[in-house]
Formats: sequence, structure tokens, C-alpha cells
Amino acid sequence: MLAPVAQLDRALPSEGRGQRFESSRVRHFCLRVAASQPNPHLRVGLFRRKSTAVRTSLIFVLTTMFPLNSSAAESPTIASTSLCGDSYLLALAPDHINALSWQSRSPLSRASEAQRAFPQIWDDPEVLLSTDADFILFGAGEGKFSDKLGKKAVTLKWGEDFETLKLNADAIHDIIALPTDVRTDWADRVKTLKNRSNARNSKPKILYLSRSGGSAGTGTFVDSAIKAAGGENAALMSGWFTPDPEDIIAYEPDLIITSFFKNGYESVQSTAFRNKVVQRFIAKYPSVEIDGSLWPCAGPGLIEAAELISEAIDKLP
Amino acid sequence: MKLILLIIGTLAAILFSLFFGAANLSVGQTLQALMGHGREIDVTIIRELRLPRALLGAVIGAGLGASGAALQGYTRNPLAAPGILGFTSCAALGAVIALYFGFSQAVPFAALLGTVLGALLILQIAGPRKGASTLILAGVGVGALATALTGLIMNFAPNPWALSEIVYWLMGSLKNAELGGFLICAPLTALGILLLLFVGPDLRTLSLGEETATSLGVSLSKVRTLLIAGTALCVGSGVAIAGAIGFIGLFVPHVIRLIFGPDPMKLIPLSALGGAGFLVLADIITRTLTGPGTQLYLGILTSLIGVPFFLYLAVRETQT
Repeated sequence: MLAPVAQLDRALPSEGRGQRFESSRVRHFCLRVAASQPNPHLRVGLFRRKSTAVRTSLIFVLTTMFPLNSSAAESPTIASTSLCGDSYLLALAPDHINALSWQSRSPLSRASEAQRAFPQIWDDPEVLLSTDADFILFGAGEGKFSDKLGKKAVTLKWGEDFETLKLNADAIHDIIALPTDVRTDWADRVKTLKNRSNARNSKPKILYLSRSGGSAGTGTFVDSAIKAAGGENAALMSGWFTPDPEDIIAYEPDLIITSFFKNGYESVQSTAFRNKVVQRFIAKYPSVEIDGSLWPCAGPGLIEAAELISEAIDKLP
Repeated sequence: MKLILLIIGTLAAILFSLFFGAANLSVGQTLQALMGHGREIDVTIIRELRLPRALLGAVIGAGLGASGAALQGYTRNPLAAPGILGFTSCAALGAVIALYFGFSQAVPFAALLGTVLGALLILQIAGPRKGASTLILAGVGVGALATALTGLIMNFAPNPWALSEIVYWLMGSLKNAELGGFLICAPLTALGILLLLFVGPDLRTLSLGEETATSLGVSLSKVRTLLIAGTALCVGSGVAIAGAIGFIGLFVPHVIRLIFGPDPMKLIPLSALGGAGFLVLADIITRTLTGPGTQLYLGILTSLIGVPFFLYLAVRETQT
């Protein structure tokens, strides 16, 4: 069985990935070493002293003329170590992000171009000690060394439903005390989904297929999204599973959700994407592609995914 | 008589495999669907999923069996097999490189390229005039290098998803078999077996020893080149489509040798037949043991069968 996409960010990155993460401590150390090097050229040393004096004066003048906005100076910063955590921060606290996870530049990240330039961190004590964020948001199962970091930390709860989404958002709000609250908007959107669902006479059978041919049964966040959208999961098994192509074509769904087809990772196991029999099966039924970046976990994108499914249900004949 | 039984057994295994799969089809439904009758979904399952899978299994098994027999004949070493001599690892490395860089469409060609480059490297290291033992050492070394590089790529896998893709692929499976894969694999394997059959008579002479064979006019460098090319085609095309499936090239020629005798020339086609039947049967077992959503990988099963056999051979070699 393929690893469920939901668990993408539960594994640690392999050592030596690099990710162009620049440790501020290393940078500081390098600068100090460079500054402490004896310089044989007096003129250069003299120039450096002058240069330092000019720079100090300039900083003094600038800070006097343009004092820092006090609210910005006090604005807490937060860093995420997981793709799931990224999705929460990007939705809840985009202006407070100090660093994103090591997967923030992957195709499954919702980060904008500017946000992709943020430093990348992962659940490694040395890396986390180097970051100057006020808070660390760990993914589920991470943060074993959080008590040694000297920083406040939140660890996301792992769950596959809208309740988990609310719990995690509450936890982030509690620790960082965000001035804006998008949770009300989320609750309204979920309520709207429910109203739309209640207004329909029937619940269409919906089958989820990822690029690899994996599907999602009951108890998964895909199942939660299908139910929230007013559908019924065609897969009666519980949890994530990879059905045989023979099993796939035996389903008779009203709607097929395909996901990770566009930004999924290339794979030889792309049964749903490449197997001609499965392709024909998908083409036979109405389908909706849900961008994989919306649901690397039961994060804020789950609501948008449910809305897209709901819209697809409305278009069914 | 034994040959007829082997042919019938292999064909029966292929036919038998059509009755096994995730969908619950009766014998009657299966046979009807094979003829193109019955429900549309049954016809699709039998003709487009199960039949290509069985044929692909047979072709890959044939290639692995034939190359194992040829390598054992050439090296006169019962432990020689495509996997032991590094061909499978080189094919896997090529495919994993393609996977790592996101060229999954090019995996079959990358696996073939990996096998060919590995084979050339083995030939280069072994040299044109060195004996079979040098070839084995070169093969083991190149195989180890390919395995290490595969591990390196897995180490730097960009995410757990990509890593799991590589790992599962390396376990080998016919789950995604379809006609397209068969059409790529079959001609290449056929060509590979043809090359191996071509060196069959020389392998028979080589059983008298390299010096005697050379004095009888056998060109060792020609035999080696054809042998490596044939094995590369058989193994590369198989790995390219179904991932790494090991130990068939080791296991099958031994069983065939026990039944049909040690003639290396005859062993190549017979091992091809035996390999075809064995892999199809092994695939039936994986399908039978595979639960809903949880797959038993073919490469794992063949390894579980092959490794004890390999250890038995190694112990027997030590004792003699």
C-alpha cells in the first residue's frame, strides 16, 4: 500500500538535504570569525573602522527619523516544520511567518512565490535553535525536543476531520493571539456546505482516486470532505488503501474525485494516471480534480476542497 | 515427455492465472470474457488486465530464467545469476535515477540504459581475456556500486512520497501490467533470449574448461559480449516494466538442471520456459495473498523463495 498522502509530512527529511537553509548562528559565527582575522593592511583596517562609524551613524539617524512601528516590532513570529503546519500558518497568520517547512517549495505547498523565499526549517533541534521565530509550529508527531528549545511551541493534532481543523486553529490562536480571526469565516463556510447538502434530495456516491491509484475510505479526511459536501463515499473500506485496478473499475460512482494528478509527484505507480483501463473508467464518469496542495493533511484547504466537491455535485446531471 | 509437460505446465500456469484476481469471477465468466463475451467489465478485466499481466509475467520470467541459465553455464558457477552479477541492480539504478528526476515515463528506457551501461562496465573491468571468476567479481562489484548509488538517491529523495515510490517499485510487481508494457518488454526479451541461444553451443564447449574451449575455436570475448548483451536485454526489459524481481535466474535453472540434466545449451530455452511458468505461478500467489488495499509484492515473494535456496547452494558449495 502506498503511503497515504496525508502522511507526507510526518516523516523527517533525510539528512543533508540542505534546502539552502542558512542558519543565523552559523552566519553570525562566520561574521565574527571574519571580523577577528588579523589584517596585515592597516589601510584596510582603518577603512573598516571608518566604515563602521559611518554605518552606526547612519543607523542612528534613520532610527531617529523613522522609528519602527511599535505593533510590528511586537508582532510575534512563528515558524512551521511541516507542510501541514505551513498550510495552517499560510491561512491563519501569513504576516507572522518567520520560516516555513522544508517542503514549502514543493509542488504541494500553497506558499506564494514570496513565501517560498522564507527560510526553511525542519524538526531538528539545531535547526530550530538557529531560527529566531518566537513560536514553533510542529507537525503531528514532531517536536520531541521542543522543551529544550527555549521557545513556545505548538504541535498539530493529527486527525482526519473538520473538528481537528478547528482544534489546531484554536491551538495556534491561543499561543500567538492573532489580531484577525478567520475561524468564523471557516465555520460559516462549513455551515453553508451543510445547508447546500441538506437542500439536495440525494447523496451521490463519490469515489476518490489519487494519482497512484490510491483511494480513501471511511475515517479519512477525504471522506470528511465528501460528507461535508453532501456526498457518500463509494469506498466502504476504512482508512487509506490502494485498490487493484480490477477493484477500481468495479465501482459505480456518480462522481470521481481525482487528486494529485497535476502536481502529484511523478511515479511509476501512477495507476490512475497512466493505466489505460483506469483512465477509461475515470473518463466514463463525471470527475473533479482537487489540487493536491489543498489537502496534504486535514488543514484549512479541506474546506475549499469540500466546496469544490459540492460544486461538482451541483453540476451532476 | 518432460519437455511436453514443461510446455503444458507453463501454458497451464498462464491460463490458470486468468482465474485469479481482485474481482470475483467464476470459471465460466472468465472463459466467456476471454472469448469476448459476457459483461463488458468482465471482458475488460480478463482481456485488458489479467491477460497482459500473465503474458508479461511469462515474458519476464522467461528472460530471467534464460539469462540465469546462460550465466551459470558461462561461469560454471551455480551461484551465478543476473541479480548476483549486478544486472538487476544496474537496471534498478537507471530506473531510480529516472524516478528521482521526475522522468517516470522514461523509467523503462532508463532501466535498459542502466543495464547496458552496467554491462559495459562489467565487461571493461573483467577485460577481454580474463576468466569467468573475474567476470563474477566485476559483476558483484558493479552491482554493489549500483546498490550504493541507489541508496544514495533514496537518501536524497525529495520527500517521503518519492522515497516510498522508489521503495515500492524496487519490490517488483506486475500489478500495473498492461499491453503497452508487454509490447515493450516482449521484443527486447525475445532478442535477448535469441542472443543467449546463439551462445548455447559455445557454453556447452565451455563446460570442458576455458582453455579447452578456446583450443576448440570458441571465442571467449564473443561469447562474453553476446552473453552480457543478451542478459542485459532480458533483465533490463523485465526490471523496466515490473521493477526488481530477483532470484528467478538463480532458482529456476537449478530446478531445470535437476529434471533435464546439465547441458548448458538445452538449459537456456528450458529455463526460459520454467522461468515463465514459475513467475506466473508466483504472481498467482501474490494475487491470492493480497488483501484489499494491501499488496504483496512479487519481488518480495521471489526473494523469500530464492534466498533460502541461495543459502542452501552456498552451504552445499562450501561442503564440497
